[in-house]
Amino acid sequence: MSELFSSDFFESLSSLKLAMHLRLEKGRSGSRKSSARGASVEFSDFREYLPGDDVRKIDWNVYGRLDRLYLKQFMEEQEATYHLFVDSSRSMDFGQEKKSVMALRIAGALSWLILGQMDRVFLHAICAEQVYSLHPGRGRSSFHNILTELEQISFSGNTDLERSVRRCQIAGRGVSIVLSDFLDVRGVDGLIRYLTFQKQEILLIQILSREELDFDEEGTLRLIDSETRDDITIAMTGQSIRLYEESMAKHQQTLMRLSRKYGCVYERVVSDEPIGRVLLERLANVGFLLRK
Amino acid sequence: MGIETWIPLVLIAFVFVILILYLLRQKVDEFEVSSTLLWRELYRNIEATKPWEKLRKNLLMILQIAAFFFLMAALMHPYWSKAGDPQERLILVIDCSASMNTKYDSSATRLDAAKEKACALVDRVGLSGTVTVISSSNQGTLLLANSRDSREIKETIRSILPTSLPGSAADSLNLVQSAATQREESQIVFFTDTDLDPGMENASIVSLYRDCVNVSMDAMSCSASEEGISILVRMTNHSDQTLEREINLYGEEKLLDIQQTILPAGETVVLYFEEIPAEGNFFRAEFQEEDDLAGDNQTFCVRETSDVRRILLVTDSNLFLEKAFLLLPGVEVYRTRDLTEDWSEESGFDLYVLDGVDRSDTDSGRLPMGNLLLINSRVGGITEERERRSNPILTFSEGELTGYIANEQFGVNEASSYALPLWGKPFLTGEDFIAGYFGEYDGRRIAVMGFDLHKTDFGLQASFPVLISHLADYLLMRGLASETAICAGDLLSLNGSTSGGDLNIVRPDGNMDTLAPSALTVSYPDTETPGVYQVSQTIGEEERTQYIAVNFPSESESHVAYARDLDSEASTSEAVMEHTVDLRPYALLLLLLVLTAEWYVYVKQT
Repeated sequence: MSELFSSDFFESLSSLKLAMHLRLEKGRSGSRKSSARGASVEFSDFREYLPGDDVRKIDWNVYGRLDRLYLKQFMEEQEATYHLFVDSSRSMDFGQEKKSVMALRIAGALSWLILGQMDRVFLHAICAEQVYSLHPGRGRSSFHNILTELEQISFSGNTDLERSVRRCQIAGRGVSIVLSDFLDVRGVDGLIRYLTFQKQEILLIQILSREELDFDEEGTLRLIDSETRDDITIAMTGQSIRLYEESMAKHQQTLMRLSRKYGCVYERVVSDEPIGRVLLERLANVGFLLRK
Repeated sequence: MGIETWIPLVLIAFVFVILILYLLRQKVDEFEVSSTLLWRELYRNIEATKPWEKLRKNLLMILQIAAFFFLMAALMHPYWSKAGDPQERLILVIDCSASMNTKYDSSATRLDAAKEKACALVDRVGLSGTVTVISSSNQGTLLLANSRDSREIKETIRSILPTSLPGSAADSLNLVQSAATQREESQIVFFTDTDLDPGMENASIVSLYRDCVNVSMDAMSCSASEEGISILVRMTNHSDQTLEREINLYGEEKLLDIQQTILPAGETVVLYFEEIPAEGNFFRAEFQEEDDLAGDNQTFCVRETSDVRRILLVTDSNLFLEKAFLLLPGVEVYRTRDLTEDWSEESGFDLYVLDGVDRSDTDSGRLPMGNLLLINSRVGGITEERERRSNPILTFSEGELTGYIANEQFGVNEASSYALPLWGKPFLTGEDFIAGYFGEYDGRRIAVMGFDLHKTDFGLQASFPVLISHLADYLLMRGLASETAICAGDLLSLNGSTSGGDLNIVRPDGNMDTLAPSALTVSYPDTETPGVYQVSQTIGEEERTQYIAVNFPSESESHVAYARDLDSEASTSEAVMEHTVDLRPYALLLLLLVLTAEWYVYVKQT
């Protein structure tokens, strides 16, 4: 095991399972119940007949009772597809406890859980210049390969989430989990809308470092952007730090509002938090993970 | 609270220098952040490019500015007047007598030190109080009253000049009491070197006394003989150590002799210069060495002239009158019982005293030239008797002849009531008549008294010799000056003839004053400067000149006895200063604390 994924890391996963609220379209068969109504034997529901429907599905018993035409629907078991988008821009490689490490650990943990449910997982390392899609995995046997490829992700380049995600191959319904610091809120709106258009259940996990949340530097500083190398000189007075914290809070509120608007799940984690707490508390609190 | 000097306030300009240095101090650290997007949002509200933003939260700069302000405050010498005891009125009495010319330290005299202390006191009073300045030597002089202008007050104090006059701050007590009674809140401060007991509340003394090394020339006299001039010089060593001195003797400005002597501590020594050539009208003796009081290092004396006045006393017998005239210096008294018919044997006298002589049938034009004193006598054309009064009480009226005896009375058996001539002025009166008068008539001075000295006890009274002295001064005209040696500050009595020109007085500094002669003595007051004064008057074609020696008042000023303990609170307390609290030590203490804090912050930052 690598430093990113220790035995303790996997022990913390043993008590978790994914909680899915997903209606899947037709696809490979898996162990996840799908809300898509297919040709399986398990009855699902009735709906009123509309011109053009298959007459073979008309339930005549209901017609006899109610003197109205209704179709019988059946559940179809189908494999779920998960897309994990890991922001691999340079800004993620920041902090004493790096955000990139937390992102990779969360991606690894979720991959472990997804593969354990016999679902398919697609991992994408995205930044403005390129998208690196890892080999899809299915089943626990592919987990080792996934970990190896996660460790090889380099964090460099600028951030452009929407354009990066658009370059990814997304087919059918699924769950999209975006791991980023979302510091550029402008791209988040387009990202969410695109994924929603692609019929994705969306989970946004914002990862920030402790230094970004509690900025306590003093003096007059020339702040240099780690991605663009732009600089700005600011005197770190009590007022300026207070305004920064207000800006950060406002940024988070914007993300939350976007999430609510588009029906997404949003959670913020700090890079110096223990991974166990992130999984058992943070993601469990938002209902994405369940305890067994 | 007050401020002693506002001048250090100009240093506040250096505070801006400190600010500019910190503004120019370009120290901006680079710090990499993940993204500057959030910082750019608030950048509009934070104009960090404005220079003063760099100055915020700069503790080191604040401490340095605070240290600078405390330093400036200390230089301004702040003070605080104690509450409940405001110095609303301050009266400063500065002793400027001769002893204040004694050295206080290597560079200043006692008077200089007194003026500086007084000026410092004025600064402490501040603008809330008024200040009155009185100088004191042989009398008090009000120089400035109730002023609030500190500049004017200090200029007045600094304008006080040293004098060679005797006296002390005690001579101004009447004036001070008069000034102090106007308001109860007056605080009086005496700057003096004498042991003074003001006897007033709210009075304190700033003592300028210090032990000094001083030898004084006390007195000098000369006498003529066939061998020449003999001069006696008396000197005193006022210090506590034996000193050796070299004495130079000058005849006017010519050095005549030099002698050396040793003066034991506290002793008086008399030195003789004998067989000195009779050169010069006056002499001067001075020490070759200097000491702490230069004013008493020389003394003057005037060579006595043989200008003797001759008096002819015409009387049967009048012991009191004869003795009274014999006591007069510079006169020779001759007595006769009666005058000859033609006055042939009685000519050549300066004064004729007729006691009980009846020459009413004689015309005054037949009398020999000379002044006349008529006591119970009659002379035609001079006396006009109206009647005789019995048992009157005679009174000396105010006038030039009755100094010190005015309003004195005595009884006589009988007195003449005179008709006052046009040239006469009364000086002795009865209840409603004139019993005595004087004046100038026919080129001579005349005094008339209309009673018999034998029939009165006036001769036994103290006023009798005083009257005789006044009469002699007036009638004899013994000299242009009554005395040839006085102390500085004494009035110089001048006896000029009214038939002559103005009296010219040349002071030692060469300046000349002119006085109009009077029938009586003229007082000349400007004798502050020790030296030889020359008095001259032209009478007809003759110019009369007389020298007067004015000496330093060494008896009272060369050694100021100080009985009190100098360390005692009563003698050395500067009571007004006790009413103020000097805040400068506190400002310096705060400065030290701030500098310590600044050092700590600097070490911590580096």
